[in-house]
Order: sequence, then structure tokens, then C-alpha cells
Amino acid sequence: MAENGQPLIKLDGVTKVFFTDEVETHALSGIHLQIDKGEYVSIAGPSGCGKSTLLSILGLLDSPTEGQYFLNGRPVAELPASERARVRNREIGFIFQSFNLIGDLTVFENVELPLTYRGMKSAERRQRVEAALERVGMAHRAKHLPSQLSGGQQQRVAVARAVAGEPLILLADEPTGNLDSRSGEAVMDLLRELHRGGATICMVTHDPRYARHADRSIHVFDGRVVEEQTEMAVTE
Amino acid sequence: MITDLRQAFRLLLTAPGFTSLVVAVLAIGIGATTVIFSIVDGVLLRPLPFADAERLIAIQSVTRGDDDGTASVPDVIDLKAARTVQDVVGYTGGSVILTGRGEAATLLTTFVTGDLMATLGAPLLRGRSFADADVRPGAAPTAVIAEHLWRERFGADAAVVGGTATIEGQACTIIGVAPETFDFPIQSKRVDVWLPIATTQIGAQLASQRGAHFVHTIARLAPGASAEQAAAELGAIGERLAREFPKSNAARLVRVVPLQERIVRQHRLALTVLLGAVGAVLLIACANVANLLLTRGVGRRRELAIRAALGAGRGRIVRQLLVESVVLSAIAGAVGVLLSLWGLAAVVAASPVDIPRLHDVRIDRGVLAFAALLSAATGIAFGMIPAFQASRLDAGETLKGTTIAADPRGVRTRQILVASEVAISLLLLAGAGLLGRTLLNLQRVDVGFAAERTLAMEISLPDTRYPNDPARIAFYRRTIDALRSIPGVRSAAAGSTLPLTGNDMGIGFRVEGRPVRDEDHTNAAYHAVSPDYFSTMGIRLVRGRAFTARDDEQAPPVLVVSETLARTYFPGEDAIGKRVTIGYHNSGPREVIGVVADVKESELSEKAQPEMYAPFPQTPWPFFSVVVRTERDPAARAAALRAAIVRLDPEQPPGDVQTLTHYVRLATAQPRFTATLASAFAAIATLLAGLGIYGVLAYGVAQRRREIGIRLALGAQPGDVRRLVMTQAAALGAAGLGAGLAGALLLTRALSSLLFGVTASDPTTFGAVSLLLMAVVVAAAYLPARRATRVDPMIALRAD
Ligand SMILES: Nc1ncnc2c1ncn2[C@@H]1O[C@H](COP(=O)(O)OP(=O)(O)OP(=O)(O)O)[C@@H](O)[C@H]1O
Ligand SMILES: [Mg+2]
Repeated sequence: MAENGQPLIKLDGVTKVFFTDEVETHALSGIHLQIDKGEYVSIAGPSGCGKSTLLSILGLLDSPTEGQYFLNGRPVAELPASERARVRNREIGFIFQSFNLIGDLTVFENVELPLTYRGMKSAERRQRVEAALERVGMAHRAKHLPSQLSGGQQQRVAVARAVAGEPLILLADEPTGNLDSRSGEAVMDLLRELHRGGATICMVTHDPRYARHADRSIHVFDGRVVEEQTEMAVTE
Repeated sequence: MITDLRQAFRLLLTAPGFTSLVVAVLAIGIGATTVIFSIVDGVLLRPLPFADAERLIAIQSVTRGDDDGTASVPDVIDLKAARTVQDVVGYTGGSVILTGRGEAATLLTTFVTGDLMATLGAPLLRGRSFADADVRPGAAPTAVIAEHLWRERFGADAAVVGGTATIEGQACTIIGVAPETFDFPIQSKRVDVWLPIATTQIGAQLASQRGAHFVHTIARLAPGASAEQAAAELGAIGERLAREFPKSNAARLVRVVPLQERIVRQHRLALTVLLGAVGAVLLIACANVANLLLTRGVGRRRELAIRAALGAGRGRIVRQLLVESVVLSAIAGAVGVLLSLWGLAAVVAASPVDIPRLHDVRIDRGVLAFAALLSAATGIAFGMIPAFQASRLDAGETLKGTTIAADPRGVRTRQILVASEVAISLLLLAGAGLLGRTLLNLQRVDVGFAAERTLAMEISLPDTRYPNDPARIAFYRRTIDALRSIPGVRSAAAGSTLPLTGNDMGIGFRVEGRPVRDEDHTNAAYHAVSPDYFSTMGIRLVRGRAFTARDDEQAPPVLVVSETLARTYFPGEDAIGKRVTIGYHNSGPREVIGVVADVKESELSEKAQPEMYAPFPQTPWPFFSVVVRTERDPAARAAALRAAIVRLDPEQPPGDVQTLTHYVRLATAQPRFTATLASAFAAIATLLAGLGIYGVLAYGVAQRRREIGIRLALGAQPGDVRRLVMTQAAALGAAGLGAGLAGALLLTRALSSLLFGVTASDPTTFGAVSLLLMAVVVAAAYLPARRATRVDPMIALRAD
């Protein structure tokens, strides 16, 4: 629970409709969702069911067509673009399927990037970046370019980037989708460790093995939440 | 090869937008270059239209330190003794009046000391040219007329040779007709008639004086003689003349230059500068197109990789790409030539009147060959970089990956190309800026008189009808009275010559009571003027008094001098009351009664020079110019001015009536021409450079969409992303500016002699053009930067 007793994330009847070439795609239809502080939630569902759309709304990359979104008690569905950028920067950490490290920047600079957008002093940035790289075990590669790393290593750097800013929540969209199973395991272990350390995580994954890491699993089908399971329920 | 060609055409047709953009950019470059090249070729390079033109020389009698100079007729006769040259002939320009053939007409005349046509190796259409007997003093008057005059005024009469024409009121025997192909001296207006120098009284009088240095001299190198030998021999004669006639020749030396060089020298620098400028524009166009091709090359990597995989060798791929670019440049060349036809006409129309041979410039076979070569070279130049870059691709790698990352080498090449465009643009902008400042400075020059609301007209009085001073003075008085009574005319005056009209006269003088040394250069611009001259011209009286009607032929001789003359020759003294003898009309010493402000005599950029004025009745000339100041629009009074002269003497052809403003404007024509063209080229260059920057940045943004999306997803504000693009633009701009400034500082020095009132490294100009260019860079970055902020951060979630 957030300090004031509210859930960290609360979606209320969120729908998302895409209009393309006069075709309406109802990607999300009336989603109600709560995520509490410190929770580890996984989202699963068939391809095209709206998982990424849901995540993009949670991450303020996109805004709902209808419905309310409270982040840490604050309505954020209709914030102006620059305020949304600010929220993304400070309160949300992203981990993407395709790592999305910037090729021209070193590992260190990649992790530093979101901090520079905060106007943080360079000494503090350095300290935070080093700590984050330390946490994911990539400190020794700080000066490397992403292309010099394996996929698993790149994703660990991406995790470092996501946590360096100490966000309220980590959003991960199939973080192991581009990895072999060994590297995938390593990344999942890392997330679990972060969760144990108190991080709130919301992760999209197809893989039931990884979904099991989560406290709670949400199933989405055709833009709707069809089933919520706790860890206990799954293991039974 | 045929397959290559067919493929090239097909490819160009499949991307019509790309093709037209490339063709347009190149056509502008090729067209502009062709225009300037045709002018440089026609004016500077092409041999003069005379037989063995490279053996023709100009013999200059120059005062030490001057570029050019004229000789006296006795000097010319002495120069004829040289063995290394033949057919030495002197000539000078002027005008005469033709009567009895329709309306009286003023003919543009060249007065000669001998057989000019023989020197130039030009045959006559009919009859013969001047023999020695024709040019001797006291010979019967003869004339060679131009073909166009023969057709217009003599009805192309086959029996014209041997007939007579009434020139300056006397019957001249026409001995020959010069064909239309003969045009000498080469000037903007064609000569109507060639006459022996002694045809007019004043000509005969001047031709007898060693000190009257007024004829240009040309000759042909003798068979077997070299220009160096001629220079040595003629130089020695010059030294002998300086010793023998120190009074007139002490400060003079004789120099030899190729005739063509003398004719075009004055324009060489300006035209060369323009050719350089237009070449730079073409270079930028090439860089731009190379950039466009590189961009497209990225999109074509797959196609090329497939070709390579199918066994096309590296040479084969380079050839295919080069064929494509040459086809592009050939199309652009054709369009460019069409543009140049129009451009040349526009440039010729906008040009100052005095560039020799400009009006004969054509887009001829030679120029077309040049344009074709230029197009091919252009195609290879801009095609080379992308072709080689593409051929270095690794076929396997390109086919393997589905995603194509930015090729860092290609990006670097494109950035260097664009920075070079900025550098070259800066160079052109700086040059144009300096020339523009020069023009402004010239326009701001105080000419010393008020040119607004004035009209001027030249009048020349034929010896036959105005044979002596009293007759000339009488006509002069009647003329001024008649002009003064024209309604709308506030005042009327006359002067032997008017400033900046292209006619000027210099006369030696001597200050009473001072020893005369031959080396002393006591020469001053001279004007014989009417009483109201200063007030009508608006020349400020500084001290003393102006002339009045009482300063007539009976009154004591008087003189008005300019401030510079007073300061130079009477430093620390009052010039007024001093006595000065002038080298004309042996009327004894004159008392200086007034000092007036300096006036620009022949050029706006000239330094103030000594000037003097005497009353016209005391020093009458067989020609003078009238000037009237009008109440309102002077142009409305022009017809009345002409009519007044015809009423006074129906045989007197009214001359050209022009405002003095026209002459002042004409004095800036050459610098305006250069500045305008340079600015046009600089503008095109800057536009192309802006386009180039836009292209590179827009392409960069398109390529970095994903990266930008990630940055936005990580919380970058639109300003952060905009800054990303702007920083790149600024880096490109700064690199270009740095290189351009360094280059400009080196190269603008070559402009020095074209500049006035501004140094070649003028910080204001350099600062201003740098700012302008930076503004263009920022403007070019605006759209790509905005597009960058519009990238959807959702792109980060899409795995591809
Ligand atoms: N920008 C968009 N414009 C139009 N339609 C879109 C857009 N983004 C997503 N959609 C549509 O919305 C629906 C949900 O897409 P979404 O990407 O959320 O699915 P997903 O559950 O993440 O699928 P996958 O498992 O394949 O990643 C799909 O039908 C998709 O085509
Ligand atoms: Mg998805």
C-alpha cells in the first residue's frame, strides 16, 4: 500500500481504441486494475490481446481513450505531454523486450541517460549509475558499447537503467523475449531479487515459468482482464 | 552498358520526385556555371576577332605608377621607328556631326593617326583604308564609314566610295566601308565612322603637341620579333623621349602589353571572381546531390547486396551506379543549358554597358561542349562517393540482418559534405557581403554636386559653322539663355565637361612666382564653365566668389580652384588672390577668386584630385555640355531641352539627354553588377547548403526514430529531443563556419582591388554573414527537430 493507504496503481474502466484507416481497434475494453506497492504482477495473454497497450498506458507512453488512471493516488490520464514525460522519467522504469540501449552511448551513459533528463548533478548521477550497475553485475562493463555485450548482458544493463532512477514501479514487456533460456533465467532472477528488495514490478510475459515468479498473474483476453490468480492459486 | 543505361532510366522513372530534385539542384549549378563561363570565354578567353590577334600589342605611355596611359601623336610618330613592331597606329574616341543625310546625327567616331585596319589585319567591305597621305596635317578630309552607317544613311549605295559626306560641316571623301564584323575599338557601342585625327581643328591642334597625351597606341609585332624584344626596343625609345622632351615626357615610360590583355584587364578580376563563385555553387550542388544519392544508397543496399550475391563484381556495381549518376547529370546538363540561355540574356541585360564584347557572348558550340563536359564531370564527381561506398558493402551481412543500422562511415561522409557546403557558402556570402558593402559605400560617396533634378546634354560645335571663339561663345550664350527660359527649368549652366559623364580633361598649370620643375606633376582636372555652373550643379562655394557674367572675354582672367588643389598647392596659405597660368588659351596668369568643394571627376572611388574652373568665354571649347536644374521631374523636360537646341541651330543634332543621376548610377554599374551576381550565387549556395543540412538532419531523425522514441520513453522532454537535433545542426554549422571563415580570410584578399571603403577581412561583414548562415542552419534544423519531438515513444515497446 502507498503511504496514504491508496494502491500504487489504479485503473478504472480504462479503454483504448485505435483508429486507423477508418478501422477501430478496441485494444482495451474497460480494464479495472490495482497494483499495490511492493507487488510483483505478471500479465499474460495471447498475441494481440492488448498486453503491450496496457503496459504503455501504465507507463504513460499512451493515454486511455476512456477511464481513469491513478498513479500513487494522482490522476494521470490527462496530463499534458511534458508532465507525462516528467512522470515517466521519475516514477517509471521501463524494461523492453529488445533492450533498447542506445548504440552510440556506452553502458554507463545509457544508464545515466534518464538521470540527465532530471537535471541531476553529475556527481550524484555517477554514484547512482555505479550503484545500479553494481546491482546488475555489470559494473566492469561500464565503458563498453552495447554492441560489445551479449543479449543477456544488454538486458541487465537495461534493468540497471530502469532502476537507477529509483522509480515507483518497473514495467517490463517480455523482458526475456529476445533471450536464450539461460540469459532469460538470469534476468528473471535479477527481477526477483529487486522485488525482494522492495521494488514494485509489472511484467508482461508469455512464459508460464516466469509468470510463476510473480505474486499475482493477470490474464488478458481480447482487451479484457479475464482472470486473476495469486501465486498460491497457481501453485496448487 | 546498354543494360546499365536502361536500368538507370528505369530507376530514375520509378522515383520521379527524387529525380526531379536532383535534376533541379544540378541544373541550377550547371546553368549558372554555363552562363558565367560563356561570358568569361567570350570576354576574356576568346582571341580578338582579328588576324593573328595574339601578335597585336598595346603600347602604353604611362606616368610612373599608373596602370594605363595614352601617348601624344608626336610620340606615336617616334615609336614608328621601332623595328620589332609594324603598323604602329594611335587612336582616340570622339564624336562628330553628320548632316545632309536625313536628320543631323551625332556619330560615334574613332580618330586615327594611320591605317588602323591594316594594323588589325581587317579587310574592308568596300574601298580602302587611310594611306599616309590621308592622315598628314592639311590633307583633304577622308572617312571610312561603318557598314551599318552605310546601310542606314547611305542606302547601301554601291557607289558610296568616292562620294562625300558632310561631317562637322565639311565635305569628307568616303574612301572605304568597314564590314559589320570589324569593330574597333571594342566597346559597348559600335563605332560609326573612322576619321584622321586632324579632321577637326582641335584634333589638328592637339596632334601637333608633344605634351598632349591623348591617343591609345596599338601595333603588330614584326615577323620574327617577340613581345619581349618589342618591349625592350619601345621602352628604350620611351627613355630617349623622356630625355629629349623632359617637359612633357620626363615622368613617362613606354610599356607593352598584349592588346587583348589591355582590353579585358579591367574586367578580368571581377569575372574571374564570379567564375570562382559560380564554380563554388556547382560544387555545393554536387555535394548536395552526392548526399541525396548516399541517402538513397542506404535504401538500395539490399538491392545492391543481391546483385553482389548474384556475382556482380565491385567494378560492375560502381559502373552501374556511375552510369546512373551520369544519366542524371546529363539530364540536368540539358536543363541547365536551357536555363543558361535565359540566364545569359538576363545577365547581359543587367550588366553595366562597358564590358567589352559582352553583347557578343553566345551559348555557342564551344560553350555547349563545356556544358557537356561539365555535366559529365559533375555526374562522376557526385556519383563517385556513393558508388564506392555502396561497393564496399558486405553482401552477406546486408542480407542476413533484417534491421539496418546507420552506417557510421556513410553518416560521417554526409556530415563532411554538408559542413563543406556550409564552408563554401560562407566563403561566397563573405565575398558577396564585401562587394555589397563596397557598393553601399560607393553609393554613399559624396560626389560633390547635387545630381537630383538635373538634365545634361552634350553639344559639339563643328569647326565649319563655328570656326572661331566669338562664334562659339555666341552660341554658348544663346544656348544658356534659351534653356533658362524653358518652363520648369530653375537654372541653366554649361561646362566643357561634366563630372562622371565619362569625359574629363586634365590640363597642366603653373603657379606664378614658383620655379618650374619638369618632374612636377602640376596637372589638374579642368572645366570651362558658365557663371551659374556652381549653383546649378550644386557645387559648394567654400571661399571667395563664383564667376559672374562680368567675367567675360574682356575681363581680367580668373580661376576657381577646388579645395584639394588649394590645400595641395597653397598649403597654409590662402589660395585666393594667387596667380596661376594654365596650359590652354595663352591668356596669361589668372587670379584665383574662389575655392569650391571637391567633385568626383570620373570614378566614385577616386581620391580627391586638384580641379580648376575658368569662365567659358575666357577659355572657350568647340564642345560643351549643358546642365539644367528643374523644378520637378527632370525627365519631363528632356524633350523641351532637345527642341530648344534644334530651334537655335537646326543643323545641330541634339545629343543624348540624361539626368546626372543616371551618370552617378552608371558609376556604380560595374560594382553593382559584380555584387548582384555574387549575391545571387551566394544566395543559391546558402539555399542549397540549407537544403543539404535539412536533408542530413531529416535523414538522421528518420534513422534515429527508434533511439528518439526510447529517449522519450525514458522521460526526455520535447526540448531535450529538439536539442539533440539542434546540437547536431550546430556542430555541422560550426565546423562549416570555422572552415569557411579560415578559407574566406585567405580568399577574400584576392578581392581587395574590387573593394572600396571596406577591408578584405572586415569583421562586421564576416560577423554578419556568419550569423546569417547560422540562422539558415537553425532554420534548416527546425523541421527535423520538430519531427523528432513528434516521434511516438510507443515505438520503444514495439519489438522488431
Ligand atoms: N498504434 C496502434 N495503432 C493501431 N492499432 C494498434 C496500435 N497498437 C496496437 N494496436 C492493436 O491493438 C491490439 C493490441 O495490441 P498489443 O500490441 O497491445 O498486443 P499484445 O498483447 O502486446 O500482443 P503481442 O503479444 O503480440 O505483443 C492489436 O490488435 C494491435 O493490432
Ligand atoms: Mg506486445
